Amino acid sequence: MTRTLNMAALVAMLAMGCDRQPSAPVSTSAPATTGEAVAAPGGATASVAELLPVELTQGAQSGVSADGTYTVRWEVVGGAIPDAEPFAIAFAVTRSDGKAVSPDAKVFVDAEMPHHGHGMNFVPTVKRKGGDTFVGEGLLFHMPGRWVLAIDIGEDGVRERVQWNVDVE
Amino acid sequence: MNFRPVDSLPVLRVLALACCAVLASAHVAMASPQATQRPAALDPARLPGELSSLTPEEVNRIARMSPMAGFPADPTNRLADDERAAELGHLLFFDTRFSPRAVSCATCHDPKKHFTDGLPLARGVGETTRNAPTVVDAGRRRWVGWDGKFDSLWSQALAPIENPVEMGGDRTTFVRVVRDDPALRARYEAIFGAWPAELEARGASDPLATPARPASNDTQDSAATRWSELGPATRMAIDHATVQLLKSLGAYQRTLRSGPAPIDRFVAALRGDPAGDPEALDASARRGLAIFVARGGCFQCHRGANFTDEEFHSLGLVGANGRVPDDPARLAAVDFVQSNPFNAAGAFSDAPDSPKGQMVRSLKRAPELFGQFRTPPLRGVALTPPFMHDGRLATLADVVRFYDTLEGAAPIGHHGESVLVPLGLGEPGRADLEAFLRALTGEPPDERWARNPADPQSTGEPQQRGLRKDPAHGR
Repeated sequence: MTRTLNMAALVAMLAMGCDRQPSAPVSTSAPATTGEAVAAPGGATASVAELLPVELTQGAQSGVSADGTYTVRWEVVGGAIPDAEPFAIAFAVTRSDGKAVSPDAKVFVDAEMPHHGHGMNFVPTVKRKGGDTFVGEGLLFHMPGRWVLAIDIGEDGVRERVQWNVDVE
Repeated sequence: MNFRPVDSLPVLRVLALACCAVLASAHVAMASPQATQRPAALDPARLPGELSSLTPEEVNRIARMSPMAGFPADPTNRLADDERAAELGHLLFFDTRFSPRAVSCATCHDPKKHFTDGLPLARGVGETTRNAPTVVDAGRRRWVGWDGKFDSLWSQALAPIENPVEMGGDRTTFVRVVRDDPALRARYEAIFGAWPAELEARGASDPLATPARPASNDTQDSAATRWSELGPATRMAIDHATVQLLKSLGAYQRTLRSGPAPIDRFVAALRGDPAGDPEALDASARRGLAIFVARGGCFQCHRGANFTDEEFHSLGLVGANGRVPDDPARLAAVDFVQSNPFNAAGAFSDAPDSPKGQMVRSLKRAPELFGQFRTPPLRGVALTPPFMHDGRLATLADVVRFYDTLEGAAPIGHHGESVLVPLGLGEPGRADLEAFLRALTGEPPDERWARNPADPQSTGEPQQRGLRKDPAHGR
C-alpha cells in the first residue's frame, strides 16, 4: 500500500510540476516572520502533501476582505474548536479578479478577544498548500466568549483583512 | 488545483488528480487537533432541583467536568511512562543528598500534605517567592510552575535542584551522587546503558568532584566558575546524564495521579450511569455547582475535567507595593522557556518537532502577560492550602471570599468586561461554592508511589535502599 501511494505521489508531483501556471508578480511585503505562509507550492523541499490543496466542506465560513480583493472560506480542521486545546484551520483564498494569489503573498492568521483586551497566547503558523489553500496551525482559544478570527493577506505591499466573530462556549 | 490540459497524457493527468484527492484528505486528517472528543450529554430529567434552572449551555459545562481523560503523552520524554525510570525517579525525589542542606524534592512536595508543604511560600534552603504547587496530577499540566516557566515535568526538575533558595545544589553533584551510589547507578545503567566514560574518573581528574552549574542571574558563584572551567565535552556529558535523571524524575511524577472524585460520581449519575451517585454532591455542593457554571463564571478559566484552561490570567493581585501587580510572571516566563536549552524544542527533547515543541516556538510575547499566572486546576484543591501563587489566602473560604468581593485586587483592563467582577454571593453562596470545591477531591495517588521509599514503615516495591552519607556534604 505504501509503495502504491509513493508511486502515485510521484505521478501527482510530476503532473503538477508540469502544469503550474506562471507566477504572479512578486510582492514587496515584510521579511519572513513566524505566522506567515512558508514554502510556496512547488518549492524544492516541499513535500507532496504540501503541494496539494485542502478541500473544504460546504459548511466552511466565508468572508470578503474590506476592499473586496479577497474572498476567504475557512473551517476548523477536525470539525470543532476544542476546549482550550490547540487546533488548526484550513482556508481557501480567492481573488476577485480571478488571478492566483502570489506565491510570495504574506498570509497571517490571528485571533483576539476584543472585549477582554487580549488575544491568543500563541502565534499560529500558516502553511501554504496547493490551489491557493492554506492551513493555519497552532491556534488556541483558551477562554469562552467572543473571539475575532482574522486572516490577513498581503500582496504587492498591500495587506487586506478578512475577519469573523467566533463565539466559543 | 490549476492543471492545464495535457492532451498527450490524459491517463497520467487523471491518475494525478486521483492521487491528489487521496493524499489531500489524508493530510488534513493528520492535522486534526487532539482531544476534540466531546463528553456524553447529561439527561435533563435527572437534574436535581438545584440545577433545574440552568440553561442547556450551563448543563453542558457540567458534562465537561467528567470523566477525566487519561494523562496526555509526553513525547519529549521517551521514558515518561517507563516504570523503571519512574522507580529511579521515585528514589531521586526523596533523596536529600543533592542539596548541601539536605533538602529534597519531597521537602516542598510532602506526600503527607498532598505533595505540597502547606506554607504560603515554599521553603527549602531559604524562602522562595512562590507557593509550592502539588505534584499530584502534574503530568496533566501543559506548563509547569505558577508562571509556566517550564514546558515539561522533567525540564522543571532541574530548577529547584540548582536554585540557591530551594535545594541549593548543582547538576554535577546530582550526577555524582548517582554515580557513586551502587544502587542508583545500577538502576541508571539498567535503563540508560553503561555509565558515561567521560564521568568515570575519580581523584584529581574527577569532573564531578567540585560543584558546578551554569551561571544564571542568581548564581554567579564558585560553582558557575567551575562550570566554565569544564571542557565542552565534559559539560555535555554532565548535561546528558542530568537529563536522563530529570526524565526519570518526570516519569516518577507522572505516577502521582488522583482518582475519581465525588463530582465524577455525580456527573455519571446525571448520565444515567448505574455506577454514578446522585447524592455524591449534597444540596449545598449542588448549589455551588450551579454558581460555578453560571453566575460565578468560574468555568471560564477553570474549564473542563481538569478545571483549568492550562493558560494564564491576572487577577490583579497587588504586589508588595500595595497598589498593582509587580511580578512579571508569565511575561518573563515566556522568555525563559523559549531560551531554556532543556525545553521541548531543544536538543535534549526526545521530540523537538512535536506539537509541544512547536507550541514553545510559537509562544507570543505580549505586554498583557505581565502579572499573569497559570490557572490552577481545582481537583484536589481543598487539600492544598494556602492558595494563590504566593500563598496569600490561607483557606478555601478566603479564596471564595476574594472572588466574591475582589478585595485586594487592583482594577485591571484585562478581563475588564465581565469575567472578573465581584460576585456578591454573600455568606450562603460562598459556603455553597466552597462545598462544591471540596467535592472535587479525588482518591489519593497509589500508595506505592506516594510513600517515601526510605521510610522504615514502607514495604515492598520500590526496594528499600540505604541512604548513604555523602562525604562531599559531610553528612
